Amino acid sequence: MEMTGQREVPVSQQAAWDALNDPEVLKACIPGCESLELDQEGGGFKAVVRAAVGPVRARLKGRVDLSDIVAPESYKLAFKGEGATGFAQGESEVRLVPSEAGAGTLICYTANAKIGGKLAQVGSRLIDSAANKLAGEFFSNLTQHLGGESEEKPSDATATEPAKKKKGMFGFMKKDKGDKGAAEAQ
Amino acid sequence: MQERERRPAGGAAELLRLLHGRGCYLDDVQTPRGTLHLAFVRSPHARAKVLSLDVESARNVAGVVRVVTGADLAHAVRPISARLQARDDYVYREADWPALATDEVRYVGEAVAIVVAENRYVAEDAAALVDVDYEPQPAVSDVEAALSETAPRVHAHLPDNVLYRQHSGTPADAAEFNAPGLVRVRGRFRHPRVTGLSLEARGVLAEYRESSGELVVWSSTQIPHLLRDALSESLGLPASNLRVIAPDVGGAFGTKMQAFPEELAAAFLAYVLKRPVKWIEDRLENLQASCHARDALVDAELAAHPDGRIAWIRARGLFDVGAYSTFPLTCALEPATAAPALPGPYRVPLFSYEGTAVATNKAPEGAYRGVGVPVGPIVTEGLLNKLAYKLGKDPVDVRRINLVKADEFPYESISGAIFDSGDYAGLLQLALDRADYAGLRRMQQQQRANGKLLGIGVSCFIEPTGMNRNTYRTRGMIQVPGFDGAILRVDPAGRIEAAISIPSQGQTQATAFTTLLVESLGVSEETIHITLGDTARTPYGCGTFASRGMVSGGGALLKAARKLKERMCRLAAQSWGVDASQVHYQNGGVVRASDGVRLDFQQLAAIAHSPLQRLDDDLGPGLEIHAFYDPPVTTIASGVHVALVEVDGETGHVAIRKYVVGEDCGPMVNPQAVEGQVRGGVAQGIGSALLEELRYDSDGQLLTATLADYLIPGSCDVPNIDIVHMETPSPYTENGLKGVGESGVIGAPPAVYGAVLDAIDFHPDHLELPLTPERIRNLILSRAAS
Repeated sequence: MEMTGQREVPVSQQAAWDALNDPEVLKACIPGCESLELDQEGGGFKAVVRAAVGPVRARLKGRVDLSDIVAPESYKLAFKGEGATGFAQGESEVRLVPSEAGAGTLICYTANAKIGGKLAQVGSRLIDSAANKLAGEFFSNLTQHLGGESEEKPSDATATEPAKKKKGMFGFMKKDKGDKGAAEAQ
Repeated sequence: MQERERRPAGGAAELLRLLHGRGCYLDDVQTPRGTLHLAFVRSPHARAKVLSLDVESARNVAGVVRVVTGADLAHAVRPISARLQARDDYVYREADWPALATDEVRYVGEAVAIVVAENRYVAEDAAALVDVDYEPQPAVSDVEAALSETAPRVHAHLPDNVLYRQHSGTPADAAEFNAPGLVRVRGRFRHPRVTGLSLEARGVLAEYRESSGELVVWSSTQIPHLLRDALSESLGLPASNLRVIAPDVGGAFGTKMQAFPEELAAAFLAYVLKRPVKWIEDRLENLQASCHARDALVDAELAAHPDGRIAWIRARGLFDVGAYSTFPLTCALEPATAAPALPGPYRVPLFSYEGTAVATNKAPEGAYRGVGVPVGPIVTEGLLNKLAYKLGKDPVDVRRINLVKADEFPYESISGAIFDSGDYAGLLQLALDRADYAGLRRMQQQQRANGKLLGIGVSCFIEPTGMNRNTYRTRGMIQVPGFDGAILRVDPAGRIEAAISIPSQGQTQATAFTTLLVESLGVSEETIHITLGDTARTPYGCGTFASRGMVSGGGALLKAARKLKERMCRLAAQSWGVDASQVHYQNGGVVRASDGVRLDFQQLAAIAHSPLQRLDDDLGPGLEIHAFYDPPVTTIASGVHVALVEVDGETGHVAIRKYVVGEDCGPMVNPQAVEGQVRGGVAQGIGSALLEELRYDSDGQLLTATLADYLIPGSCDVPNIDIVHMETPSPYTENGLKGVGESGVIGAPPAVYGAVLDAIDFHPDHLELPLTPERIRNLILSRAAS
């Protein structure tokens, strides 16, 4: 499975970079993350994540290692997790670009992953949509954490402001087409 | 062909018992008090080193009795050993299948640990807590890549991934293959990896009875006696202390004729824990960790004279047999059985074949209805269609001119198989007439003018049935005894218990065996009780596979019945004080020739048991007859399938509009059961042709492990199947019987795919089955491009 996408967060490049390197922030934002801590020995992080793909619920124990770090612009990460219902492993490239529009930062990412075991057998047809959903949730959480509004959940303001209301529905449709903020699964 | 009076359909009692829910399948067997339940921890990797296993948290779950790893079993349970005779005319390398993997896993789904718990819920929950540290290795997932010198080896101790290789016929590079003046056609054919997918998955219940020192193993198996052999060898227990019982089995189709790691593990744990142990397979396990079948890639070439007569066939097949060689047929099963099926029912003067079984990191292959035989017609019928196309002849004509003629029997095929009897051309005509072949061709032309893509497929094939000892000897399959047995126990009241080594998987053998006895002995149905499936009550024998039930089991029963009649005659003669030559058996009794005085079956049974009757020492009291039967030939049944399909050129969807089967399985004991066998087989053949495929990705991950991904034909995909019979008795077997269990699945794939290719009027060089809508669309596009 491969996916690419980008999301805008309403903070500076440096602030976005810090957040993406902060275990506490990551732990709070990664959907289903039970624990995430710096691995003192090997560098990188140790993590336990719960995820559901279709009917399969997996608790994956594993690690994330960073490489090619160019602060505050880009890094590569390799992840690997294994549990009773299978495994997931892969690589991702993350690039932070100051957004043209203003003070925000565009987080661009590509990822490819392999899954195995029951996760693959029962979930192979569902994995693309599940991965997209998780990526969406992660960035919503991150955006919220960094003080912005989540795009996933319409706030009170969108319910009362016609312009934003339009954006809610319209934005959702745009996202489906793989425009702004959507991850495109291949 | 000899005209015979058709027997009526057999009794419905056996069927109704199953259909009304009164069967006793493995999960219905009453579990003894204190039964423990197993859950298997299975590898998510196709190939990986097992670095460590942490079972501590699983062991601490309340209700868990034991967590067992490969290391625990390594010295106690010998892996399942599948052996061929050591010989020069083939290559065979053993690849034993352990009950649990130890330091390396070789396919997704291979078990690495077992949780034994008070119930299945606890066992499953605890299994999820077993922490296995794997180090993934590159997997061998492609049969051709597996043969490259740089390919990883599935078994490090072997020089490469070839587990079996055999040659048949003339060497492929012989000068005879260069004879001029011949028309040549060639192709590459892939039969998908498929499985039998029985409604009831596997299951085992094992109980050690200290009172009798007997380890009783109930298993959903086709081979109680052979499974007992395998358990005896792996557990190091004498077979006399082991009893295997196959209760009602909800379908098997060959997939339950292997000895499995789970059976070994359950039997061992019941023995050492001194508590009954049970395991029922779930569907995910069934699709990933039970045996798969076929997965053949065949490159073949056929040359013919301009009039269509075949000059030679040359073929090379690669069979992806997965990670281990399975007991009792070994991984030679596919390449070896494809050999006689390639020349099929045709006269082929020159033949060359090489079949290779290749190890990959996939689930091991076992038998599935037809075994390698369906691979033959996939290839040869496809080549004949191409030949007809090239010569501008009707595909039926190129078949007719090549079929072995009715006056040529017994005929020795170029493959070495002996065809005992039949009328192949007569059967072809019978099926064509029933289908109105000429009418179908006219309709095809008319509809084509209307833009409808109709296609007609015809396949002719042979089905070797009831394999005898010589066949297994020839193949070197030393773990298959090749014979079956029957015991007739007659009680003092004249009631008969017939115990036969052929268990049932729902084919209603008991009904057919009863019919044979009623006809042979002239006794009433009510006096007969049939016992199957229990090694403690049935004689030794192969079991139910390779369409041997009626030929071999029925043959043993008829042989026993003959001996019983002889004995009855001697009993009567002694009772009357006359010579045995002065009496004869007739309609359930013995008649004295001189005056027609008669002793009936019940009276004779009483004489055999009563202290009032003096009997010579050589005759003695009691009435129990044993017979073992090795069929004198592997009798060859034959069939013809005709399919009419309509292809939707836009979507690639196939609808089967008409389906006719011409079947010659010799005299039918129970026509209803024969037709049931044929219909079920055709449905499975349609699956192989259009729907079913176990797909692995390049990392050896199984992508089709649910029934949403592994598509089997439903009622809407299977047409009405019109069956027309010919009954050519074998001159050699008891009552002329032939088998029928695999016929449908052999004939259907080439008839169906042939019809699809006929509809789109394209015969590709490389045929990949199943012909899914996507593949059909691609073929239509390639045709347009070419």
